[in-house]
Amino acid sequence: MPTLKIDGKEITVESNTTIIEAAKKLGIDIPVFCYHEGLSIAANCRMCLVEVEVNGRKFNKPLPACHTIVSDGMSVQTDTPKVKKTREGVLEFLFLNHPIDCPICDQAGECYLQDHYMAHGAYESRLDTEKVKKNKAIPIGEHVILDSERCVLCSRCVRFTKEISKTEELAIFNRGNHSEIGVVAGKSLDNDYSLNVVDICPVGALTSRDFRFKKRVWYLKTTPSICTGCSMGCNSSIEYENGTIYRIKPRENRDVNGWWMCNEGRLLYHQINSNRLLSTLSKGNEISQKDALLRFVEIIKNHKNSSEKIGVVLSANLSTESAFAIKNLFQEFFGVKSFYINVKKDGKSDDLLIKADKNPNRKGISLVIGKENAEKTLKDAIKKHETLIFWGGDLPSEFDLIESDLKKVKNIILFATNKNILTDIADISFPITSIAQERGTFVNIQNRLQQFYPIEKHQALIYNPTNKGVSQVGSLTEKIYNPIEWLVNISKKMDYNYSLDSIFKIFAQMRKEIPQFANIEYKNIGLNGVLLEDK
Amino acid sequence: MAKKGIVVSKHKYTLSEKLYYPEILKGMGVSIRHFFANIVKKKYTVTLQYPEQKESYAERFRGKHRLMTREDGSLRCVACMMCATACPAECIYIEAEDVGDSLVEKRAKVFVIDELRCIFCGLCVEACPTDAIRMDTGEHVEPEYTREAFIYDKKKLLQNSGRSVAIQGGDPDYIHKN
Repeated sequence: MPTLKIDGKEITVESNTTIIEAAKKLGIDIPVFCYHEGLSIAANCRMCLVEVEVNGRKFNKPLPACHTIVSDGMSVQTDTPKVKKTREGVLEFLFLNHPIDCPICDQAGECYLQDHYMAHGAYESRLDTEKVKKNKAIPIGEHVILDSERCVLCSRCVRFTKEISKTEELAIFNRGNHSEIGVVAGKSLDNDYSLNVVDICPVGALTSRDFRFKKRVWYLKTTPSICTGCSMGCNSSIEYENGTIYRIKPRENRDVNGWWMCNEGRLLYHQINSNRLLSTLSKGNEISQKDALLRFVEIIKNHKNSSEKIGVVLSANLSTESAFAIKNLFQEFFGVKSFYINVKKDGKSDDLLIKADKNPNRKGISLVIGKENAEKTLKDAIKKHETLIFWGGDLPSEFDLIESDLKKVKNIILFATNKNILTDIADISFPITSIAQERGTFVNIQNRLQQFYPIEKHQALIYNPTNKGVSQVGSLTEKIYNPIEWLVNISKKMDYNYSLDSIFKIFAQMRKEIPQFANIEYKNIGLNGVLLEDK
Repeated sequence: MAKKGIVVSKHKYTLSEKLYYPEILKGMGVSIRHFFANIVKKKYTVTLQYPEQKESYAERFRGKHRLMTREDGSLRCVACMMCATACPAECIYIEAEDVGDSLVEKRAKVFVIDELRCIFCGLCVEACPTDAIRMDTGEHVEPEYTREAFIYDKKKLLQNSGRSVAIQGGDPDYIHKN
């Protein structure tokens, strides 16, 4: 356990820690390009050079903080004139052939070159010759576009394809000023994790084709969320403006997804943005919310003495809290005993993040409805029940059923996020919010309880000149209730005294009823989640 | 306690002032002198025959916006959103689009300015890295009958357009290798 001093502050760290890790613990910022916690150390950008002294003996040259292991009695200086001059010099070299095309660069606003130049550079250009020209805007795969001129050759992307995705599509070619990143002959950057190279690229050399020119990044707001693509439950952050999601990026959680996320999960936001169910429908025709609720209540009342004819199907996309509240209301007040879980078919999987089980909350909902219920299939449900109530919107391709099967059911009531074949045949379809618009928890494949947060409800009047006047841009969030709000609406219509109207009350009730949740405080879940005990 | 302040002596009226009519005639005299001077010598005239005649503005007067074009007539704007970000009145709305080449790459599909919201501060012109937006038309925004008419789109902003010769973007002689 060596003890060292960084800028006069003393810290004791594990042996084999690098200076940069120790500095991070002290909250001292050392600028980097090539260093990334999730990748091996390359130490080729030289941006993190610091002055090091061991037991009073000073090293002649500054050392790279990312590559130097700490030792006892070490004293590190990160803000001496020599270090500052080194940083300025490194930046000047990196900027030599940089095209400075920030106005058309998607990275502008989150670019290391911009940030470091403002903090450590701010010199006058001394270049009086032509800059070296390289290729620009080259699509190197389905999702990624390369701009060689902007590249600082940090090799983060090369190391990613070598170490994480293990596909080795990228390499550095040529020498000196003419070095550039390129795709190995005969390959293209088409692995399932290719968009991660866009995130880790510190400059605008690799940018996303999906996000290209959609939005300048400084307009985006961020909300922590959980990916719904598969049961891994990768921690993600949703980046949005005015109720529209523009991109999803991975959020660091070393216990789950590290720093990475698959392409499929990142592009799931298109489902939230488009083809949404925005009004109550009956057999595909629009009806008023009031009429729809009255008809719903009528159907439930018809089953007053035959509650076994009602089946409730919970999507494995629902949050644990919503599922619990639905089960609570239908069991306590309507006497329903049959609960089913609607799961998507298994898909492809790999060793890194993608899991075959494509349901983000299968475990959580199984806990809520009990193991016996969770094992029943939808085919059983169709045979047994006259009325089926589907909660949560799944896309038709993910159903294990065919339309003709569903036609045998007398009443289909649907609470869905997106339009699909079910919204056309259901007697009543109610729109519900998507995962991005509500708060809740998922239980992932590791039995980890993780929570997601809603994006800011944007109800302010936004000026939109293309619509010639004032309009509400955040239309996705208006007039759509989340499942818990629908339950409250239904219970009001039926004059029930239903008390579980907030996520905190529901969670408190869950702790009482489900043994796995008994020891978990809602506030302790935090951003990294907690592991549930097996009981 | 001594009084503080300045003692202002009251104006004492002379006899002619007290009589009132001589003073009126004096004032009328000034008006009549100007009246005849204007007829005889035009250079004394301080008014303009608006709208036939107009006062010229200072060179740096910030008037109606215009968008500039390149040599080939295409819009110089690269939709970097600097003007929309700098705008304190949030009157600029831009949607970007991909040109599909490797030289210009990005351009504005939609460029709208609401001249009613605009406060004519000129920050958009200062922010523009490509000399695409200017306020040097020397003209006021014309009055209109509807609010919608004040929302200037790309077509209207290009009406007063001119060519800007500021060097922009990459080197046109550089030929894409692929």
